[in-house]
Amino acid sequence: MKKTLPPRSLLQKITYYVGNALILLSLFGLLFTFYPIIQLYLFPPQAQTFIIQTLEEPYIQIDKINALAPIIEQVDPWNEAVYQKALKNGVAHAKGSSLPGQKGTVFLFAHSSGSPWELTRYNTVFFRLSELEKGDTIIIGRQKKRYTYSVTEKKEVWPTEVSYLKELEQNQLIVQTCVPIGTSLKRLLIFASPK
Amino acid sequence: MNKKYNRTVKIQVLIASMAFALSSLFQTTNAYADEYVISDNGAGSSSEIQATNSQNTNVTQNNDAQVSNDVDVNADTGNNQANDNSGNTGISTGDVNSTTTIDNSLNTSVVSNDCCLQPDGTAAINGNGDYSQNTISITSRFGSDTSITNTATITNHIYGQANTGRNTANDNSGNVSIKTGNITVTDTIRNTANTANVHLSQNTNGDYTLSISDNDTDSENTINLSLNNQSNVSVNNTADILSEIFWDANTGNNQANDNRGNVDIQTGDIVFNTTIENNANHATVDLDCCDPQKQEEKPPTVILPPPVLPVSEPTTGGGNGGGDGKSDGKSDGKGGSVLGSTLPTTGNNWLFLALLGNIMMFFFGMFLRLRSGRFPPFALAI
Repeated sequence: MKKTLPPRSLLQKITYYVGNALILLSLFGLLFTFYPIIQLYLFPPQAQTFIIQTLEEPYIQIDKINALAPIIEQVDPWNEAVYQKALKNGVAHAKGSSLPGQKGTVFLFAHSSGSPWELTRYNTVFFRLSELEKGDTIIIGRQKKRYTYSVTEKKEVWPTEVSYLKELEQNQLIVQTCVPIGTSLKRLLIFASPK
Repeated sequence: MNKKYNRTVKIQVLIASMAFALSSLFQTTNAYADEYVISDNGAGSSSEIQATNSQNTNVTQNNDAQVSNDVDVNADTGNNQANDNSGNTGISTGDVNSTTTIDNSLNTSVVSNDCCLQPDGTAAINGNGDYSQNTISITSRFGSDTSITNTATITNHIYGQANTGRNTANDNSGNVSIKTGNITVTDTIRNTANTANVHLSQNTNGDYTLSISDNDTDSENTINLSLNNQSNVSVNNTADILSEIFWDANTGNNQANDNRGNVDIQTGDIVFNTTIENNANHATVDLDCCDPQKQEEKPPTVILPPPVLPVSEPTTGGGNGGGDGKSDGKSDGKGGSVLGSTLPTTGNNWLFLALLGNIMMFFFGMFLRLRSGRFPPFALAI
């Protein structure tokens, strides 16, 4: 004997459709939010194409984590409005620190995560920076020259430890982003020395 | 297809509204000494001398100059087309270098006089009889009024268009290479307006020798001497300066469609060097004293207008296309800087919050599905 379901009330119909809509919306929201991260793994930027397009523009390339982005030079690291604007277009070079090829510390910083609605390809450029280990290679291109650095140390520090950005005498590269991913709680610093 | 464009525009404006007053403001009225004497009058006589020596010089200079400069620059090495070629195709456009200089110099006033000492004088009442009344009153006044009014209105406009891009290479069977030239723009505007230099030598009265002697008893003898020196200088400078630079520069907007080979497009740089210098409203008033021994006298009144700040519009420059846009504007002002106390913020809590919000939305949707009376298999599994 076939069992029939009792007819649904109007309220049940409404909750049925609203529930469906919320489930779909949440799935779409998750996809939208994490698409830049998915893209990092599935569709990493292609070095050859990029270098051709930005022939004389300084850039940073870390093959291990598929990071490839232009460098915006001389960005004030103490003015958030200024550097947030620069970070939409690439990796920021801290004003006051040295440039590749010069003596002293080169200080670069970029997003590990950004606002989902900021549709820029550079708001997750250092998402995988924590995967770098000692001996990994970082390449910086500037004025048709390539500067190669080897990772020597990795540190997580508090945001108030600004000495890393003020004491710039040592001949090295420091790359900074925020950790844990999706927060601005601490800073991850990658130290590298020229090869 | 490689053309180069170099353009230099230079405008110099020197307004002949310069006023020079180099002649002496004060003239010597007497080449010899003034001498006032009452002497040898009889008893009961009454004698009086009243002398007034007054000299005032007025100098007025009014300069009103208006200058307007409009410069239009148009340079184009782009807009090239290479379509439907069977072999490799290359388009390389030349650089554009544009240099524009505008120099304006308006309204210079110079007022100067030489030192001119007045002669010494003598006043004497001598040898008059009993009960005589003798009075000498001398009033000497030297002064000058200098008034300078400079008004300058300067308007400068530079409008420029430069293009090395907008090239097209379509439907070619070989490789395609498009390389556009650089655009370098150097604009300089210098405005100098309203300069007043006043040099006055303070003319003073000469020394007076006063003498009352050898008069008989009960005579009344009086000498009144009044000496005044005063110079008034008034300078009013007004400058209204407007300098505007507009540029539309393009090295990009290139097209390469439907080609069978490889396509390589390189766009040139755009570099702007802009300098606007305003030097307006300077007044120098210099007063010397002809006789160092009389420096204790009250200095003359000097009236200087409040400084008027020159007006300068900000430079507007723009570039589009694939090139680098650079602007180098010079200014004297320095903005304040604030040193931060934290390392740059390169993370964002919104990612975590968005994740949390989406998960909550998902489970709320599931909850509503369960409440609706229909239990989808995947919901039951959860």
